[in-house]
Amino acid sequence: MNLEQLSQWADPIGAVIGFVLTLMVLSYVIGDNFLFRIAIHIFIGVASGYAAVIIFYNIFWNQVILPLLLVFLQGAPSGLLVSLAHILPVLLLGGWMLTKASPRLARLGTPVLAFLVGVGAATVIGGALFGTLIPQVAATAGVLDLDAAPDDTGKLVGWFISSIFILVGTVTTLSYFQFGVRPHIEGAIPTRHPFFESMATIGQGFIAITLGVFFAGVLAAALVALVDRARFLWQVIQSIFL
Amino acid sequence: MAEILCPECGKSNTDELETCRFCQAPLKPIDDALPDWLGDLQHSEPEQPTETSSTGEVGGLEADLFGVTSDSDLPDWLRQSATPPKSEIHAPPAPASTDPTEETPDWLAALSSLPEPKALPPSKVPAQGSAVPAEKLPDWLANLGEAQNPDIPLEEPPPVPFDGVETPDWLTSLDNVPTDKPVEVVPAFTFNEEEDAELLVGGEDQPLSTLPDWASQITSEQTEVLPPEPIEPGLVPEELPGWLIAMRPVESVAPTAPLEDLSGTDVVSAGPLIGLRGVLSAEPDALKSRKPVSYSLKLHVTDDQRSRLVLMEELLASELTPKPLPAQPVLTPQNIFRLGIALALFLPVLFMMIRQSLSVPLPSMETLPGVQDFYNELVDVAPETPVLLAIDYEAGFTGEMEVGARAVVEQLARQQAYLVLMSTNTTGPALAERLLTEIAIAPGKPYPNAVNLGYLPGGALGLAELVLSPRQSLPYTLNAIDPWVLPSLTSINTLSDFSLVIVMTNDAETARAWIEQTSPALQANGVSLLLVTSSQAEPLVIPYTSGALPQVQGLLAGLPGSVLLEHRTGVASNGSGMWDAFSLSLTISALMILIGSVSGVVITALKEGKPETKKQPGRKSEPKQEQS
Amino acid sequence: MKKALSIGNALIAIAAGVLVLLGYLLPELLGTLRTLLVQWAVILAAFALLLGIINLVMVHGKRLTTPKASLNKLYSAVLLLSLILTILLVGIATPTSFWSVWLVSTFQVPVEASLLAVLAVVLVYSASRLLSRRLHWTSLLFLGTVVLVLLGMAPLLFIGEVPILSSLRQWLASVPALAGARGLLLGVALGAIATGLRILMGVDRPYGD
Repeated sequence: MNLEQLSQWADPIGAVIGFVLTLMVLSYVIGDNFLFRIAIHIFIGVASGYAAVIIFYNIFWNQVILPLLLVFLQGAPSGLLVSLAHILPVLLLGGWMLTKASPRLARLGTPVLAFLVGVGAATVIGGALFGTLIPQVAATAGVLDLDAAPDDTGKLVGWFISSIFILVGTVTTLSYFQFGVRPHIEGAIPTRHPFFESMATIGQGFIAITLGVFFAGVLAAALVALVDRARFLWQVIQSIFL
Repeated sequence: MAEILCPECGKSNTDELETCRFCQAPLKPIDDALPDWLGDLQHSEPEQPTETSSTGEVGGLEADLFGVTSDSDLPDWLRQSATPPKSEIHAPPAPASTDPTEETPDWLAALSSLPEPKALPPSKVPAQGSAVPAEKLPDWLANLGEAQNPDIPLEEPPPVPFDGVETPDWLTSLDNVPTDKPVEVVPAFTFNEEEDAELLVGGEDQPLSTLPDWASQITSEQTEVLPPEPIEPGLVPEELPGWLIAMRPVESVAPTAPLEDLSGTDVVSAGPLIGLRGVLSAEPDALKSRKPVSYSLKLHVTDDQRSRLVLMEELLASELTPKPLPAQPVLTPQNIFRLGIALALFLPVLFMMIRQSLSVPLPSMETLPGVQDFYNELVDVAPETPVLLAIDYEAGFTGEMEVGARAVVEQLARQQAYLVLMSTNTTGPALAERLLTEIAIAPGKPYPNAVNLGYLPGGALGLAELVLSPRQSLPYTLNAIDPWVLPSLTSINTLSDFSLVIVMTNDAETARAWIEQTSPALQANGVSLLLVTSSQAEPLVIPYTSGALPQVQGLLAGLPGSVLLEHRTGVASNGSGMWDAFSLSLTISALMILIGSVSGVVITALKEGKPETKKQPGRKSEPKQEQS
Repeated sequence: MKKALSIGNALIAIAAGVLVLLGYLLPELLGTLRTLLVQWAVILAAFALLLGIINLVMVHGKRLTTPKASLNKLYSAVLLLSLILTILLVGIATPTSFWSVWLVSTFQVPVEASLLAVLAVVLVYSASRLLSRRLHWTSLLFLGTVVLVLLGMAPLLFIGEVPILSSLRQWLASVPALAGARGLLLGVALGAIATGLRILMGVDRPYGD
């Protein structure tokens, strides 16, 4: 049997394996059991193995070995040196970081991790500032922008009310996470200012609605997966037994 | 060498030492160190009391002793004692002295044994009439002067009976005792004549030169120690009355046992209280060199403690060994309820899949405004223009995401756009390859205008690098092909060089990272960013689609949006086949949540309203939920 | 010595972060340096992922060597076997080959999708028990929103689209949920900036001492 023939059998075999694995995982509705755990451990093994190979191909092969090989084959020593100068430091840093795998040598890899965390923190700051904070504040401030208002008077009222609602909702949601309290008498329970307390209560309502929509979305996605599995099971039963 | 035991601490010392080498107490009796006069006093036996004349002499002696010159100066007790009744004077304290069993007060014995005062030497006797006129002298003092003249016989003063006072028996008995011999007065102090001479002549430097006159006049006449008179038969020892006992001087009281045993206490070796026991030492304890007390290292454990120790050891040992958990029943009420929900959801869905029902209408475009915008951006892509497709959804969301992803890829393939697929997810390359097989013209003939660049690590870091230089971040495909030399991609240097960027993700955080890192550069260059998301990410992505300058130009959320796009583009997909079952599952879920919530509230209210007949003692009810 | 190393690590993090941040603000001056540092960080992130996989292998390998027989040993053996076989198959056939895609489609997709399907049952169960555990106005508002969105997400079977339900669902998603989500996003962005600044100032050291 050659590879092509084998590949023709791959789909039915894969379907049966998928069928069995689906049932093993769905058995969790009864409770945690041996079959469920076996299926989960197989899944973790396959996912980790695939990730390891992807990293090797995409990083070590595509960004380290292949460029050096190509430059070497081109026969340009200066280019090779430039490539080495480009690649070697990061290779050394990567090898240095792998000392974290050993409990005895773990402390040695901390400087590399510090470099990674520093660059990552700066990237996150830049993204949060220019990607979310400024645009979203501008959008909140421009919610009552009359240029974006509809021309129809009837819709204008609805637009205005909705805009006020959005503005109030945004501000009160933010104020819910304001936990500063006033200076209080010894022994008394610290409380926020009554104005902030009332704003936080309103914000709590908006958060409840947002989380309700979020929960409904998660449930909907899970229901689609359930429908998809049901469809798959039926297709396998249909193809094998019917 | 002979050894002496210390009278204080009881330790042995050598004979030569005068003080104990341990406690510094004197080893030899105090008697040896005492002056002779004090020693004589201690050793002298009690003598008969003196007669009346001697009473005057006694009174006179007392007067001399205390330097009293006139009757007015005499204290009352002495005035009274100056003319005591004869019976009191003459009665010797016979019962006390003769009966060895009875305790005779010392002071009384001493009183009875007082010798006759020795006649003062002529030099000491004040000349009569020289100091005080005779008519001014009290009788007793005058008699005292006559008594010193041996030629003048002593006269007994007449007894003065007490008026109305009952004479005590002992005093009466004292009167009845005949005294043939004159009672000799025992001087309070006795001196050696030689010493007296020295002291009297000499001496301002002598210590005794500071003594008062009365003391210096006392001669060193030795009184004859008279033997005690035999007790006449018939005399009964008398019991002392209480008042007399109370009057007893402290020194004459027989020493009683101390209230506490002071034999173990330290003797004071320095300071004014030297030699005493049981007092605070002047020396601080810190300076005393004492051998430290040695404590035994052996732990004394009682039987009770030992049994408790065994119990504790067993308890600790049992902590290390895992206890087998009690067997849980497979079908608990929660499991049954969960199984019921699973069957209630799964069976109708399976039924709809078996039926292949297509009766539920699709959602309208007005209800999902983002789909129209998405479609409009999609159809604006020109042929051969590079479109970046980010396949960033998980393998488990393929059922929901592949409906929209397939519709997008199919539509772009129809438009002959150049598809560049990449992923920030490790499973992404495989899923991207699945998508590409969907748009294959035929088996073995993949879509030519597509390339799979593989995996970009680092999350937000990788996206930051992708924005700046896609060539450096993804230099080759997974097949080791350099895609950037291809005609469609030669013009690509930054992310903004793509005509369209479409991100397909189920995770809201991944969507946010893409928007944060790429939207500023894309917006600046007028490149549209479209999102295909799962229903769970939709609420957090919607804010990026609104506003005057939305960061996301089109949003396709969940199965409803994907099915609508599928329908809009006319792509045949699995979405329609799932729509009916999806709609039914939504309805069943909403109803189960409603029924479950209402029944839960009603049951809880009924439970709380029931009387607590089975309430356990000391068990409190659950606290009321706090209102936030 | 320990303190010197700790300070050195903090200085490395601060220096790298400040250079990248300045590269955002001064692209002409520090753009190239920023690109280089980010490129190095991306490759190091891949090494970090590899480190996680190595740690997974070490943990389960250690479990295999324990003398006591238990089901955990079997689970670890299954995991390591599937990992090795996957590495061999995908490594030889390349990650985008037919067999690699077949492996992902056969093992990863069914298990993950089934886990998500079980999640649906758990979510319905927990939502139906919510009010019996905590009766509060926010719980009522939450559950009411869930029911309305579910009913308005798709037309109902045998009934079709109910306009009020679909309009209500659309309004909920585009007005109050938008406001709440925007507030949450602003809060998350502020928190991310604050956390990043704390790292760049050396106050927080998540990389360890």
